[in-house]
Amino acid sequence: MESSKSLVKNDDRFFSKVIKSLKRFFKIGNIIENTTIGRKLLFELVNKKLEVTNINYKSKLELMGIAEEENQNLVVKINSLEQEQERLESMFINLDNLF
Amino acid sequence: MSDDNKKNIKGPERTSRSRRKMKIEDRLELIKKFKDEHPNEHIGTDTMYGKIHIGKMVIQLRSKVLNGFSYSPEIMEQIENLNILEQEREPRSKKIDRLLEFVKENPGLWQKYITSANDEISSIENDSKRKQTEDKYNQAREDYFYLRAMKNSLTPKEYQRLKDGGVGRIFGESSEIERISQNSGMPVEKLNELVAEFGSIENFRNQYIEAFLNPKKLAEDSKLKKYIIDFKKYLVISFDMDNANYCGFQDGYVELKGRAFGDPIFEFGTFINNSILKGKIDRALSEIKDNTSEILKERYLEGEGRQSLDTLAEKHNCSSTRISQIELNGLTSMRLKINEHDGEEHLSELRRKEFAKVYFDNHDIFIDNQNSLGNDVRQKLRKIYEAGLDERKAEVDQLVEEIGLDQRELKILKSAGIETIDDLLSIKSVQELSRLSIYMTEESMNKIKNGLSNLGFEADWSEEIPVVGLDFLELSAIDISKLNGVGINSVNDLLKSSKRKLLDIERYGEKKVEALIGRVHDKGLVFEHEEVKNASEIRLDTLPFSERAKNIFQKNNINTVQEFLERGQEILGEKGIGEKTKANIIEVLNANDIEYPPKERLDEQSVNTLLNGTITELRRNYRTLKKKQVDCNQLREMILSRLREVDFDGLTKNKFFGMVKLIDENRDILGESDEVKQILSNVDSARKKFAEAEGPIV
Repeated sequence: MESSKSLVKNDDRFFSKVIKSLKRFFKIGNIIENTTIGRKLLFELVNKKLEVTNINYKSKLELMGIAEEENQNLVVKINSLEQEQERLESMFINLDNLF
Repeated sequence: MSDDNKKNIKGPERTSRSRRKMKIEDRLELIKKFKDEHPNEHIGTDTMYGKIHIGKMVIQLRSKVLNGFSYSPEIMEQIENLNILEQEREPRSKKIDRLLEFVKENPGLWQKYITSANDEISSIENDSKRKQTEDKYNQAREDYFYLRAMKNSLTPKEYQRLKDGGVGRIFGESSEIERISQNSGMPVEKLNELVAEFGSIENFRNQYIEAFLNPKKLAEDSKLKKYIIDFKKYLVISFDMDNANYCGFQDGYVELKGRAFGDPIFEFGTFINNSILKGKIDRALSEIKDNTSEILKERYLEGEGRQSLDTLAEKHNCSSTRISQIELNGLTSMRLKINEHDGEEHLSELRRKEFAKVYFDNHDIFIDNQNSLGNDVRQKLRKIYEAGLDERKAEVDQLVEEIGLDQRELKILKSAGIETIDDLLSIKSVQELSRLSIYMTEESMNKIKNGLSNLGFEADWSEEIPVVGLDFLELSAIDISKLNGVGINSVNDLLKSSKRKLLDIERYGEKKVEALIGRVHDKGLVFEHEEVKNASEIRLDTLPFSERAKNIFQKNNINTVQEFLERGQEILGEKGIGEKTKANIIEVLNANDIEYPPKERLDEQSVNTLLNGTITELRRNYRTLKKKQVDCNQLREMILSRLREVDFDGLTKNKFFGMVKLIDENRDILGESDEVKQILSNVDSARKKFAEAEGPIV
């Protein structure tokens, strides 16, 4: 128990170091080169775990592109769901009138 | 949806009449009765009232009215009175219940959890529980903010409930002082005392921070010192729990760091977050000379406050100036050591990406709570990190012997003080390498270069342009002497000069200069300022604009591209300039790699606003999508449960085919579940039966 506890303690130090450098890396580097990471970031932003101010200028512009694309996708999906809902409702009513 | 999932609320049994079809009046009566009996109950799609599916009833009614089905005015009035035409929100009482329960589960700390960001959650929970708790917290936070926004419209009863549950304070019931007391655990009386002394908590806090960073000031200000000592426990805790040990201002680490890094006053936040400060300083102290580190320790870290130079000089039996020298040297070597250690944190880009990937996949980025990473993830990350460090160590610390050079080259490098590959890589150019030693020949340099590339290193030694005489350009003797006249003695000098400078030479016109530049380009050389020149120095009359465009430039006294970029908008907007001319100007500029019209760079703030707007929209869309999905699923379930009840054998032909038509029309939206398939196959087999019997089977 004792040893595992001390490992965690060391880990914390180690992680705060590495994560700090990771953050520095992201602030400087270009995050969105990798779209998966871009989407992940967007997700974090949507879930309010990340502030827009934490992201560098270039990446913000790129994120905006991804976000808009995502928004369009969502609107399409929502529209098709809306139609589906209407159809389901009318089917339900008709079915109910039938029996 | 199975019956277990439906909300069963005690109510009337279904009568044989209600099984067939209830009259609209009866339905309304029933809904009214339900609402009277359960004023706080929300009627959802799945709400059952006794054996009657009242939720379904409301949906039907709503759809009918919204689709223009006209009832008699009295009935319409009743429907409106029932207030069912709009989708009901979750009743407030439910939110209150949930919030009160949350408060009960988290006494004391609930407000902190609710009002602070998610990092609070992750810092207190381990991996497996995290998701669950997060949902709960988010829900509580949502409820809390909803209720707070609605506080003016709460009924006295609801208000009383919240107050009794301990949530009353969110409505401004408590003062700032109580809030601080709640968060920091500091007694209210003590806080009041502080306010009486310093005007406000904020004032005190500011002074505290200042003193914290500047122990000298603290020593002079006895009032502040007294209060800080009294309240230190609370204040440190409320600022940063982790760093409480390192933050004590007596122990000198703060000042030592300030001195070692040359920034005595650094940003408070940076320091507070830097939990590895003490470790860093201790490590650096242990690696510098023993007597130096001893003196530094004595001067900053031991005893009561800083020890004076004289005391130390007496103790070590030397002059105070010597102590001061040792101190200064010690601080410098400490800074070097600390920088060196910081350097280790820099992983190679590849490793960092690898690290980031694992980190991203397993955890929410940018939250300072490494605690919530699982152990296996930690191990994974650690491996990557260590591999990166090894890599770097291997790269940097390999001795030049590893390159496999001959004794001669090794000797040259060693005599020039080059011990490791890292040293070798820090050389910038071939010339620098050749300057290392007079014995360095081209052959040796090639050997070194090849040896490095065999090991997988690419030496970034750019070729300095060698000093080349002007005869390299095969110019006439007159040209060479003219160039010499303006201080251009070699090709290198020529490349450093600009077109304008060349035009200043006597008898050098546009054509002559162009020819000279052309010759330079032909030899594969580029002017040093060529790019800069492109944007600002190019004269407009050297570009192939149409006559009309040239006249316009002349008329407006525009000579260079730079001038045009500044005033172009205004000039092109003038009357009498045709589209053709405009197009010609833009085309010529673009053909010469000049961006026009210049793109406007959005400032940081507007980008933030824009991005935030998009993200808000995204958030809303995600919510809508989720809601629609839930709605559709519920409807689908209701349809299925209806179909499930149908007894195919007891149907008339009309009814059966009506149903079949409905199913056929909507087959694509019914889903793919096994149950749907089962029902569809039932329908198909019944259809066959009908076809065989050619008539109703009753």
